[in-house]
Amino acid sequence: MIRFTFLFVFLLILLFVTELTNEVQISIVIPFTEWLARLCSKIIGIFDQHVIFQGVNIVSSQNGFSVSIQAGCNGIEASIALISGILAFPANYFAKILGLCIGTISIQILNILRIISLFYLGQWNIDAFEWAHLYIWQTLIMIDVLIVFLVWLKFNKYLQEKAKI
Amino acid sequence: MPLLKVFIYRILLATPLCFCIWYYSAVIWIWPISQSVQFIMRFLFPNLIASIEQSGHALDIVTNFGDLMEYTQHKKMIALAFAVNPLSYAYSLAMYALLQVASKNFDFKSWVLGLLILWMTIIFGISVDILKCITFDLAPPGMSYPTEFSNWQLNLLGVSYQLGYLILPSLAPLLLWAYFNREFLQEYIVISS
Repeated sequence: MIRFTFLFVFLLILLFVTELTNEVQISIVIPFTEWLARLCSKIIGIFDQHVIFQGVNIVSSQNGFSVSIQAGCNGIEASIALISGILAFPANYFAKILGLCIGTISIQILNILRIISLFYLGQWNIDAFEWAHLYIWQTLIMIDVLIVFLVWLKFNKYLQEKAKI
Repeated sequence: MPLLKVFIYRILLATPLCFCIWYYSAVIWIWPISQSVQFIMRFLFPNLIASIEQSGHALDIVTNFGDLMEYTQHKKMIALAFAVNPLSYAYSLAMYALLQVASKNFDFKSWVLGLLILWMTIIFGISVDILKCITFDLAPPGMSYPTEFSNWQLNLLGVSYQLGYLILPSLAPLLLWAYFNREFLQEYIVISS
C-alpha cells in the first residue's frame, strides 16, 4: 500500500508537470484538444446541423453560443490520474496495457458526453452550465476514474486467479 | 447485487443531495475559509493583501497596491481588487461527502478528519490562486511583477496553481475516501507476489 501510494503520487506529479511543459502542450495537448473539439462537433452534427468548430471551440451557428475546451476539460488530467494508478499498481503487462487503453477510452467517452451536454446546457441556461461545468462534471469524471480503476482491479484479480489454476 | 453496482447507485442518489446541502450551506462554511486564507496570506506576504472579504459565495481580494500607480512607469490604471470563486476548490467537500455516504460503512470520525484535510487543500488552492492573480493577471504588460518572484518561483507558482485547480479538488477526496475505506477496496485488491 505504501509502495503504491508513493509510486502513484510520483507518477501523477511527473506526468502532470510533463503535460504542462510547452513542448508537450504544442505537440500533444493542443492538437488532441482540437481533435476532440472536431470529434464532438461531428457527433453533434449527426442530430444538429447548426454546429461548427474553430480550433478548440465548438460554436452554435444558430445563436453564436460557444464552448471552448480548455485545460481540465479535455480529460487529460483525469486520464493522468488513471494512468498513474494503473502503472503504480502491481500487475502484469497485459493487464496494465489493457487497463490503460480501455480505461483512457472510457474516460474520453464520458468526457465527450460532458462537452456535448455542456454545449446544450449553456444554450439553455448559463447558471446551470456554470454549475455543471465547475462542480458536477468535474466530480463525475473523477468518480468515473475511480470506478474504472475498481473494475480494472477486479479484472486484474480475475487474471491472477486464472493464472494460478 | 454486486458491491460495485450498489456503490454506483448510491453515488448517483447521493450526488444531488450532497451538492444541494453543500451549495446552500456555502455562505456559512466559506467564512472560516476566508479567514484562514487571509491569515496565511497576510503572514506570508504582509505587503500584498489588504483584506479578504466574503461576498456571498465569492471572496473579494483587496490588494495593497494603492500606490502602485507610482510603481508602473506606464502610469496605467491597474485593478486593486479582484474576486475568487472558492467553490471551484471547495466542491471537493461535496464530492468527499457523497463518496462517504455511498460507502458501505460510513464512519463519522474518518469523515470529519477527511473534511479537515480537504479544508487545507482548499486553503492551499485559493491562496495560490490569489498569488497567481496578483503575479500574472494584475501586473500590466512590461511591468515587473509586484511579488518580485524569481523565475523558478514563478514556475513553481504556475504548477502549484494548475495542481491546486485541476487536480487537487477532484483527486484529494478520492484518495482520502480510498484511505478511509481500505476494507471496501480489499475485496478488489490482490497484490501480485
